[in-house]
Amino acid sequence: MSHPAAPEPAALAEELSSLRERVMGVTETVVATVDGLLVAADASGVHPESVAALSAATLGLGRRATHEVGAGGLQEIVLRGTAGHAVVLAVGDNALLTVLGDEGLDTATLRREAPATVERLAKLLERHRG
Amino acid sequence: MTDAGPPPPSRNVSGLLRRLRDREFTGAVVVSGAPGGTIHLRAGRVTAIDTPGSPPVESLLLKSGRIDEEAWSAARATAGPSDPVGVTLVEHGLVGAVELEVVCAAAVHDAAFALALTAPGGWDVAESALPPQVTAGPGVEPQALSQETGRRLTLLPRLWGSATELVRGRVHAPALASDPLPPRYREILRFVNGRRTVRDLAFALGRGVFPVLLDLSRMRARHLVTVELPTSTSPLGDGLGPRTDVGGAPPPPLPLGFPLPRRTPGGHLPDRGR
Repeated sequence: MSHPAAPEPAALAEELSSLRERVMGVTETVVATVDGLLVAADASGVHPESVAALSAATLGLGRRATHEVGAGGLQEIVLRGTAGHAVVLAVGDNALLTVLGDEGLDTATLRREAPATVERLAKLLERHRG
Repeated sequence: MTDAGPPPPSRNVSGLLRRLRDREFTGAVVVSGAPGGTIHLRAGRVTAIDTPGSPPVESLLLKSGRIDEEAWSAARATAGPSDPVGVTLVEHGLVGAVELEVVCAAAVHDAAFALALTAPGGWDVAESALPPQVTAGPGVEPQALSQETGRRLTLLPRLWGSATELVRGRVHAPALASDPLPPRYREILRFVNGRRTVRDLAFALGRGVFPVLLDLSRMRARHLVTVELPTSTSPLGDGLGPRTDVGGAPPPPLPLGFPLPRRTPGGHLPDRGR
Protein backbone atom coordinates (compact mmCIF):
# COMPACT_ATOMS: atom_id res chain seq x y z
CA MET A 1 0.00 0.00 0.00
CA SER A 2 1.62 3.22 -1.04
CA HIS A 3 -0.02 6.57 -0.75
CA PRO A 4 1.08 9.97 -1.90
CA ALA A 5 2.60 12.00 0.89
CA ALA A 6 -0.49 13.83 2.08
CA PRO A 7 -0.29 16.97 4.17
CA GLU A 8 -2.87 15.56 6.56
CA PRO A 9 -0.54 13.70 8.91
CA ALA A 10 1.11 17.04 9.69
CA ALA A 11 -2.31 18.65 10.06
CA LEU A 12 -3.40 15.89 12.43
CA ALA A 13 -0.24 16.22 14.48
CA GLU A 14 -0.73 19.97 14.64
CA GLU A 15 -4.30 19.54 15.78
CA LEU A 16 -3.21 17.24 18.59
CA SER A 17 -0.33 19.33 19.85
CA SER A 18 -2.52 22.43 19.63
CA LEU A 19 -5.03 20.79 21.96
CA ARG A 20 -2.20 20.12 24.41
CA GLU A 21 -1.23 23.81 24.25
CA ARG A 22 -4.74 25.06 24.82
CA VAL A 23 -5.94 22.82 27.62
CA MET A 24 -4.01 22.80 30.88
CA GLY A 25 -3.16 19.32 32.07
CA VAL A 26 -3.37 17.51 28.72
CA THR A 27 -0.31 15.27 28.50
CA GLU A 28 -0.86 13.01 25.49
CA THR A 29 -3.45 12.32 22.80
CA VAL A 30 -4.21 9.38 20.55
CA VAL A 31 -6.44 9.13 17.48
CA ALA A 32 -7.61 5.64 16.56
CA THR A 33 -10.21 3.87 14.49
CA VAL A 34 -13.24 2.42 16.28
CA ASP A 35 -11.79 -1.03 15.80
CA GLY A 36 -8.70 -0.03 17.71
CA LEU A 37 -6.06 0.72 15.10
CA LEU A 38 -3.74 3.64 15.70
CA VAL A 39 -4.07 6.60 13.34
CA ALA A 40 -2.00 9.31 15.01
CA ALA A 41 -0.55 10.13 18.39
CA ASP A 42 1.01 12.98 20.29
CA ALA A 43 2.52 10.76 22.94
CA SER A 44 5.69 10.47 24.93
CA GLY A 45 5.14 7.97 27.72
CA VAL A 46 2.26 5.68 26.84
CA HIS A 47 2.23 2.95 24.22
CA PRO A 48 -0.06 4.49 21.56
CA GLU A 49 -1.11 1.16 20.01
CA SER A 50 -2.29 -0.11 23.38
CA VAL A 51 -4.15 3.11 24.15
CA ALA A 52 -5.80 2.91 20.70
CA ALA A 53 -7.01 -0.64 21.30
CA LEU A 54 -8.23 0.02 24.85
CA SER A 55 -9.93 3.26 23.80
CA ALA A 56 -11.86 1.48 21.06
CA ALA A 57 -13.08 -1.13 23.54
CA THR A 58 -13.97 1.63 26.03
CA LEU A 59 -15.89 3.59 23.42
CA GLY A 60 -17.79 0.50 22.29
CA LEU A 61 -18.78 -0.38 25.85
CA GLY A 62 -19.64 3.21 26.64
CA ARG A 63 -21.92 3.49 23.64
CA ARG A 64 -23.75 0.29 24.50
CA ALA A 65 -24.04 1.19 28.17
CA THR A 66 -25.32 4.69 27.45
CA HIS A 67 -27.90 3.20 25.11
CA GLU A 68 -28.88 0.49 27.59
CA VAL A 69 -29.52 2.92 30.43
CA GLY A 70 -31.34 5.39 28.22
CA ALA A 71 -28.82 8.18 28.73
CA GLY A 72 -29.14 9.46 25.17
CA GLY A 73 -26.22 9.85 22.79
CA LEU A 74 -22.76 9.26 24.22
CA GLN A 75 -20.81 12.50 24.57
CA GLU A 76 -17.63 11.46 26.30
CA ILE A 77 -16.18 8.81 28.54
CA VAL A 78 -14.13 10.16 31.41
CA LEU A 79 -11.85 7.90 33.45
CA ARG A 80 -10.45 9.53 36.57
CA GLY A 81 -7.66 7.94 38.56
CA THR A 82 -5.79 9.30 41.56
CA ALA A 83 -3.00 10.43 39.27
CA GLY A 84 -4.68 11.23 35.98
CA HIS A 85 -7.51 11.33 33.51
CA ALA A 86 -8.36 9.59 30.25
CA VAL A 87 -11.17 11.06 28.16
CA VAL A 88 -12.48 9.12 25.15
CA LEU A 89 -14.44 11.02 22.51
CA ALA A 90 -16.03 9.70 19.33
CA VAL A 91 -14.77 11.31 16.11
CA GLY A 92 -17.54 10.68 13.60
CA ASP A 93 -18.68 7.08 13.29
CA ASN A 94 -15.35 5.48 12.52
CA ALA A 95 -12.74 7.05 14.74
CA LEU A 96 -12.05 8.28 18.25
CA LEU A 97 -9.86 10.70 20.15
CA THR A 98 -8.40 9.84 23.53
CA VAL A 99 -7.08 12.68 25.64
CA LEU A 100 -4.80 11.78 28.53
CA GLY A 101 -4.21 14.27 31.28
CA ASP A 102 -2.83 14.62 34.79
CA GLU A 103 -5.12 14.82 37.81
CA GLY A 104 -5.32 18.58 37.42
CA LEU A 105 -6.69 18.36 33.86
CA ASP A 106 -8.83 21.43 33.12
CA THR A 107 -11.93 19.43 32.25
CA ALA A 108 -14.08 22.55 31.87
CA THR A 109 -11.82 23.98 29.17
CA LEU A 110 -11.44 20.56 27.54
CA ARG A 111 -15.23 20.27 27.33
CA ARG A 112 -15.34 23.68 25.66
CA GLU A 113 -12.48 23.02 23.24
CA ALA A 114 -13.11 19.37 22.37
CA PRO A 115 -16.12 19.69 20.03
CA ALA A 116 -14.26 21.94 17.56
CA THR A 117 -11.18 19.71 17.72
CA VAL A 118 -13.29 16.61 17.12
CA GLU A 119 -15.00 18.33 14.21
CA ARG A 120 -11.70 19.27 12.59
CA LEU A 121 -10.28 15.77 13.14
CA ALA A 122 -13.43 14.25 11.62
CA LYS A 123 -12.97 16.40 8.51
CA LEU A 124 -9.29 15.48 8.21
CA LEU A 125 -10.09 11.79 8.55
CA GLU A 126 -13.15 11.89 6.30
CA ARG A 127 -10.98 12.85 3.33
CA HIS A 128 -8.95 9.74 3.82
CA ARG A 129 -11.37 6.94 4.32
CA GLY A 130 -10.01 4.28 2.06
CA MET B 1 -26.79 30.66 43.37
CA THR B 2 -24.19 33.34 43.15
CA ASP B 3 -25.75 35.88 45.42
CA ALA B 4 -24.27 36.96 48.69
CA GLY B 5 -26.50 39.85 49.56
CA PRO B 6 -25.27 43.12 48.14
CA PRO B 7 -22.26 42.18 46.04
CA PRO B 8 -19.15 43.85 47.41
CA PRO B 9 -17.76 46.13 44.73
CA SER B 10 -14.16 45.16 44.16
CA ARG B 11 -11.63 45.94 41.49
CA ASN B 12 -9.80 42.67 41.86
CA VAL B 13 -10.03 39.29 43.53
CA SER B 14 -7.76 40.15 46.45
CA GLY B 15 -9.84 43.26 47.19
CA LEU B 16 -12.96 41.12 47.13
CA LEU B 17 -11.37 38.58 49.49
CA ARG B 18 -10.48 41.32 51.98
CA ARG B 19 -14.06 42.58 51.97
CA LEU B 20 -15.40 39.06 52.41
CA ARG B 21 -12.99 38.63 55.32
CA ASP B 22 -14.51 41.70 56.99
CA ARG B 23 -17.94 40.09 56.60
CA GLU B 24 -16.65 36.71 57.84
CA PHE B 25 -18.14 35.19 54.71
CA THR B 26 -18.39 31.41 54.32
CA GLY B 27 -18.72 30.07 50.78
CA ALA B 28 -16.64 30.40 47.67
CA VAL B 29 -15.40 32.81 45.05
CA VAL B 30 -15.46 31.28 41.59
CA VAL B 31 -12.85 32.83 39.31
CA SER B 32 -13.15 32.25 35.58
CA GLY B 33 -10.13 32.37 33.31
CA ALA B 34 -7.39 30.16 32.02
CA PRO B 35 -7.05 28.52 34.44
CA GLY B 36 -9.92 29.55 36.61
CA GLY B 37 -10.46 28.26 40.08
CA THR B 38 -12.65 28.15 43.15
CA ILE B 39 -11.48 29.91 46.29
CA HIS B 40 -13.11 28.39 49.38
CA LEU B 41 -13.69 30.63 52.37
CA ARG B 42 -14.66 29.93 55.96
CA ALA B 43 -15.39 32.96 58.09
CA GLY B 44 -13.52 34.92 55.46
CA ARG B 45 -10.33 32.86 55.67
CA VAL B 46 -9.11 30.93 52.63
CA THR B 47 -9.33 27.22 53.44
CA ALA B 48 -8.63 25.82 49.96
CA ILE B 49 -8.32 26.81 46.30
CA ASP B 50 -9.23 24.37 43.53
CA THR B 51 -7.53 25.16 40.24
CA PRO B 52 -6.05 23.17 37.36
CA GLY B 53 -3.02 25.46 37.70
CA SER B 54 -1.48 23.84 40.78
CA PRO B 55 -1.53 20.42 42.49
CA PRO B 56 -4.28 19.98 45.10
CA VAL B 57 -3.62 18.73 48.63
CA GLU B 58 -4.62 15.24 47.48
CA SER B 59 -1.75 15.13 44.96
CA LEU B 60 0.74 16.55 47.45
CA LEU B 61 -0.19 13.84 49.96
CA LEU B 62 -0.46 10.89 47.58
CA LYS B 63 2.46 11.49 45.20
CA SER B 64 4.87 12.28 48.01
CA GLY B 65 3.96 8.93 49.52
CA ARG B 66 2.83 10.51 52.80
CA ILE B 67 -0.45 8.65 52.37
CA ASP B 68 -1.08 5.58 50.24
CA GLU B 69 -4.02 5.29 47.89
CA GLU B 70 -5.80 2.63 49.90
CA ALA B 71 -5.77 4.74 53.06
CA TRP B 72 -6.90 7.74 51.06
CA SER B 73 -9.90 5.82 49.62
CA ALA B 74 -10.78 4.56 53.09
CA ALA B 75 -10.70 8.09 54.50
CA ARG B 76 -12.90 9.34 51.66
CA ALA B 77 -15.37 6.54 52.25
CA THR B 78 -15.85 7.36 55.93
CA ALA B 79 -15.79 11.13 55.52
CA GLY B 80 -19.05 13.04 55.58
CA PRO B 81 -20.14 16.66 55.38
CA SER B 82 -19.55 17.23 59.09
CA ASP B 83 -16.48 15.06 59.08
CA PRO B 84 -14.40 16.04 56.04
CA VAL B 85 -11.54 14.01 54.67
CA GLY B 86 -8.93 16.09 56.48
CA VAL B 87 -10.39 15.30 59.91
CA THR B 88 -10.65 11.61 59.03
CA LEU B 89 -7.03 11.47 57.86
CA VAL B 90 -5.87 12.91 61.15
CA GLU B 91 -8.18 10.67 63.21
CA HIS B 92 -6.89 7.59 61.39
CA GLY B 93 -3.39 8.72 62.29
CA LEU B 94 -2.39 8.92 58.62
CA VAL B 95 -1.05 12.42 58.90
CA GLY B 96 -0.34 14.73 61.80
CA ALA B 97 -2.79 17.60 62.36
CA VAL B 98 -0.02 20.17 62.13
CA GLU B 99 1.56 18.52 59.09
CA LEU B 100 -1.78 18.51 57.29
CA GLU B 101 -2.32 22.15 58.17
CA VAL B 102 1.09 23.03 56.72
CA VAL B 103 0.41 21.09 53.51
CA CYS B 104 -3.04 22.74 53.15
CA ALA B 105 -1.64 26.24 53.69
CA ALA B 106 1.17 25.55 51.20
CA ALA B 107 -1.37 24.37 48.63
CA VAL B 108 -3.45 27.54 49.15
CA HIS B 109 -0.40 29.78 48.63
CA ASP B 110 0.64 27.80 45.57
CA ALA B 111 -2.82 27.96 44.01
CA ALA B 112 -3.08 31.71 44.66
CA PHE B 113 0.24 32.16 42.84
CA ALA B 114 -0.97 29.97 39.94
CA LEU B 115 -4.20 31.98 39.66
CA ALA B 116 -2.30 35.28 39.74
CA LEU B 117 -0.22 34.33 36.68
CA THR B 118 -3.09 35.02 34.30
CA ALA B 119 -5.69 37.78 34.34
CA PRO B 120 -9.03 36.50 35.63
CA GLY B 121 -11.91 36.56 33.18
CA GLY B 122 -14.34 37.44 35.95
CA TRP B 123 -15.49 36.27 39.37
CA ASP B 124 -18.63 35.37 41.22
CA VAL B 125 -19.38 35.01 44.89
CA ALA B 126 -21.06 31.65 45.51
CA GLU B 127 -22.61 31.06 48.90
CA SER B 128 -23.71 27.54 48.18
CA ALA B 129 -20.53 26.10 46.70
CA LEU B 130 -19.59 22.58 47.74
CA PRO B 131 -16.98 22.70 50.50
CA PRO B 132 -13.46 21.58 49.62
CA GLN B 133 -12.48 17.97 50.16
CA VAL B 134 -9.50 18.53 52.39
CA THR B 135 -9.00 21.43 54.74
CA ALA B 136 -7.12 21.84 57.97
CA GLY B 137 -6.72 24.65 60.43
CA PRO B 138 -8.44 27.99 60.34
CA GLY B 139 -7.34 28.85 56.80
CA VAL B 140 -5.12 31.60 55.44
CA GLU B 141 -5.78 35.30 56.02
CA PRO B 142 -6.56 36.96 52.65
CA GLN B 143 -4.29 39.89 53.50
CA ALA B 144 -1.33 37.59 54.15
CA LEU B 145 -2.17 35.56 51.05
CA SER B 146 -2.14 38.53 48.71
CA GLN B 147 1.09 39.80 50.26
CA GLU B 148 2.83 36.47 49.72
CA THR B 149 1.44 36.16 46.19
CA GLY B 150 2.69 39.68 45.46
CA ARG B 151 6.13 38.77 46.79
CA ARG B 152 6.30 35.69 44.57
CA LEU B 153 5.19 37.64 41.50
CA THR B 154 7.90 40.22 42.22
CA LEU B 155 10.51 37.46 42.38
CA LEU B 156 9.32 35.84 39.17
CA PRO B 157 11.24 37.94 36.58
CA ARG B 158 14.49 37.22 38.42
CA LEU B 159 13.72 33.54 38.91
CA TRP B 160 12.32 32.65 35.54
CA GLY B 161 11.02 35.42 33.30
CA SER B 162 7.55 36.61 32.42
CA ALA B 163 4.38 34.98 33.68
CA THR B 164 3.66 33.86 30.11
CA GLU B 165 7.02 32.17 29.97
CA LEU B 166 6.20 30.36 33.17
CA VAL B 167 2.70 29.30 32.12
CA ARG B 168 3.45 28.29 28.54
CA GLY B 169 7.18 27.59 28.39
CA ARG B 170 8.24 23.95 28.03
CA VAL B 171 11.19 22.80 30.07
CA HIS B 172 14.02 21.02 28.25
CA ALA B 173 17.10 19.27 29.53
CA PRO B 174 19.80 20.04 26.94
CA ALA B 175 22.40 17.55 28.12
CA LEU B 176 22.87 14.90 30.70
CA ALA B 177 24.53 16.39 33.70
CA SER B 178 27.89 14.89 34.52
CA ASP B 179 28.30 16.40 37.99
CA PRO B 180 26.66 14.67 40.90
CA LEU B 181 23.33 16.35 41.48
CA PRO B 182 21.16 16.71 44.55
CA PRO B 183 18.44 14.03 44.62
CA ARG B 184 15.75 16.70 44.18
CA TYR B 185 17.27 17.86 40.91
CA ARG B 186 17.66 14.29 39.68
CA GLU B 187 14.01 13.65 40.53
CA ILE B 188 12.95 16.71 38.53
CA LEU B 189 15.13 15.73 35.55
CA ARG B 190 13.41 12.36 35.46
CA PHE B 191 10.25 14.14 34.35
CA VAL B 192 11.73 16.81 32.08
CA ASN B 193 10.97 15.76 28.51
CA GLY B 194 10.59 18.97 26.55
CA ARG B 195 6.79 18.71 26.68
CA ARG B 196 6.08 19.68 30.27
CA THR B 197 5.60 23.17 31.64
CA VAL B 198 6.63 24.03 35.20
CA ARG B 199 3.03 23.38 36.25
CA ASP B 200 3.07 19.98 34.51
CA LEU B 201 6.30 19.08 36.33
CA ALA B 202 4.75 20.11 39.66
CA PHE B 203 1.83 17.74 39.03
CA ALA B 204 4.13 14.94 37.90
CA LEU B 205 6.24 15.35 41.03
CA GLY B 206 3.39 16.00 43.47
CA ARG B 207 5.05 19.22 44.63
CA GLY B 208 3.95 22.84 44.53
CA VAL B 209 4.47 24.92 41.40
CA PHE B 210 6.45 27.59 43.24
CA PRO B 211 8.83 25.20 45.04
CA VAL B 212 9.49 23.41 41.75
CA LEU B 213 10.02 26.78 40.09
CA LEU B 214 12.65 27.66 42.72
CA ASP B 215 14.53 24.43 42.01
CA LEU B 216 14.23 24.85 38.25
CA SER B 217 15.48 28.41 38.49
CA ARG B 218 18.68 27.22 40.17
CA MET B 219 18.94 24.34 37.70
CA ARG B 220 18.60 26.79 34.83
CA ALA B 221 21.42 28.88 36.23
CA ARG B 222 23.56 25.71 36.14
CA HIS B 223 22.48 25.05 32.52
CA LEU B 224 20.76 21.84 33.52
CA VAL B 225 17.49 22.96 31.98
CA THR B 226 16.31 25.47 29.40
CA VAL B 227 12.85 26.78 28.69
CA GLU B 228 11.25 27.26 25.28
CA LEU B 229 8.00 28.92 24.39
CA PRO B 230 5.83 27.07 21.90
CA THR B 231 6.16 28.73 18.52
CA SER B 232 2.51 29.61 18.11
CA THR B 233 -0.48 30.57 20.17
CA SER B 234 -3.19 30.26 17.57
CA PRO B 235 -5.62 27.36 18.00
CA LEU B 236 -4.75 25.93 14.62
CA GLY B 237 -1.10 26.65 15.17
CA ASP B 238 1.14 27.77 12.41
CA GLY B 239 4.23 25.71 12.84
CA LEU B 240 3.06 23.83 15.89
CA GLY B 241 4.58 20.68 14.62
CA PRO B 242 5.53 17.68 16.68
CA ARG B 243 8.13 18.56 19.23
CA THR B 244 11.60 17.17 19.06
CA ASP B 245 12.57 16.01 22.46
CA VAL B 246 16.08 16.42 23.74
CA GLY B 247 17.42 13.90 26.15
CA GLY B 248 13.92 12.74 27.00
CA ALA B 249 11.39 10.33 25.64
CA PRO B 250 11.52 9.33 21.98
CA PRO B 251 9.71 11.62 19.56
CA PRO B 252 6.00 10.95 19.20
CA PRO B 253 5.19 8.21 16.71
CA LEU B 254 3.39 10.26 14.16
CA PRO B 255 0.67 9.34 11.77
CA LEU B 256 0.91 5.86 10.51
CA GLY B 257 -1.89 4.89 8.27
CA PHE B 258 -3.52 6.86 5.51
CA PRO B 259 -6.16 6.01 4.46
CA LEU B 260 -7.53 4.96 7.82
CA PRO B 261 -6.22 1.55 8.77
CA ARG B 262 -8.76 -1.23 8.71
CA ARG B 263 -9.05 -4.61 10.24
CA THR B 264 -9.76 -7.41 7.82
CA PRO B 265 -11.73 -10.40 9.09
CA GLY B 266 -9.36 -13.21 9.92
CA GLY B 267 -6.43 -10.96 9.15
CA HIS B 268 -3.50 -10.05 11.29
CA LEU B 269 -2.87 -6.88 13.17
CA PRO B 270 -1.22 -4.40 10.85
CA ASP B 271 1.21 -3.29 13.54
CA ARG B 272 2.47 -6.41 15.20
CA GLY B 273 1.19 -9.47 16.87
CA ARG B 274 2.88 -11.07 19.77
